[in-house]
Amino acid sequence: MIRKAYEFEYSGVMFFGTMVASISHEIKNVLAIINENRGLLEDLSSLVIKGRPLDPVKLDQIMTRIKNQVQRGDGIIQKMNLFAHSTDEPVKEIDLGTLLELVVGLTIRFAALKEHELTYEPFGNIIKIRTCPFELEHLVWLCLKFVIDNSKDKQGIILRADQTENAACIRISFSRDFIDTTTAAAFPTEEELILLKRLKADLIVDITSGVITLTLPIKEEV
Amino acid sequence: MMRILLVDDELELVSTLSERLLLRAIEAEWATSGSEALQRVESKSFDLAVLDIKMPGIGGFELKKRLLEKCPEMKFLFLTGYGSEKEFHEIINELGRDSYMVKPVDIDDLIVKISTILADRGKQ
Repeated sequence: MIRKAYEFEYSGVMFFGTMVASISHEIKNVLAIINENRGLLEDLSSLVIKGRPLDPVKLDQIMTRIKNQVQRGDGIIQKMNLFAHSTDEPVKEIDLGTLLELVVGLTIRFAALKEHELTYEPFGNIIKIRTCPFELEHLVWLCLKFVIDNSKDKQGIILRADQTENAACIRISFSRDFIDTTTAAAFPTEEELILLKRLKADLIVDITSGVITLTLPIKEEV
Repeated sequence: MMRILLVDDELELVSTLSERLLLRAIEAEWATSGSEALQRVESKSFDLAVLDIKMPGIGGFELKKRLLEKCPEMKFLFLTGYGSEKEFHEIINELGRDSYMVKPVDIDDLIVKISTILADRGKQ
């Protein structure tokens, strides 16, 4: 029992580590591009000293690239910061749309590496729920990861949410012929089941229709 | 003149790096995917390919295998961010300690590395 509890708690740590490693990879790419453009400016400056004129259009292009990458880097850091702060409180009221947008932002690179397209379709209204933000992020990520890992090439995956009076529903839609039934039978695993219990959530995996539905209470305390 | 193929899904990285290598009289072309790289080698030969490891579709290691089928003499250099220890050992096993660099790279160090790899080929 103690070992199982430890393994479960450690899975949350592993999720956090996986996300941070992915973010660091993204930041590395941003820094590499800024570095190359800085270097190109250096090269062109050296040529000016040797008498070759500097093309102002070229200069503007390089400056714009650097500016765009700084903005890109800032967006990535913002994402990392939001994710880190989702661990501040074990239970709090959150905007579900903001959380799902963050999870898609964290997962999109994993999807892209397997050439899948992952999109989030916002719900019209704000859906507020009282939950454990970090564990909900973990659970949604596990559901997305299941689809990503078991999909054939170039899958389109859509994440959306809606609500009834007492519940919020998160739906992950995908092409129904993406997965073999043997792999589908293995989901949810114990890891997901523990999270579902802690979040007082229900999970329905409907491969035939190509939808995973996660239902969460709006009013109930977790 | 050595001819280099740069492959990374970050367009602005490979295009800028290519431009900087050309300023140093090194012929460099680029591709932003494994499939694009495989198309490039159909019409041109390259002495060495600089490959990112993690790319959508065909990753760096798989791309190396496919490029070797078309160009058995081609040499390789991997570019990587800080990966896991498992990934690090995969790189070492694939090509040896001297055939990878961590981003961001210094262009002079990159050129020295490329020259060393190609010089070793000459000795074989």
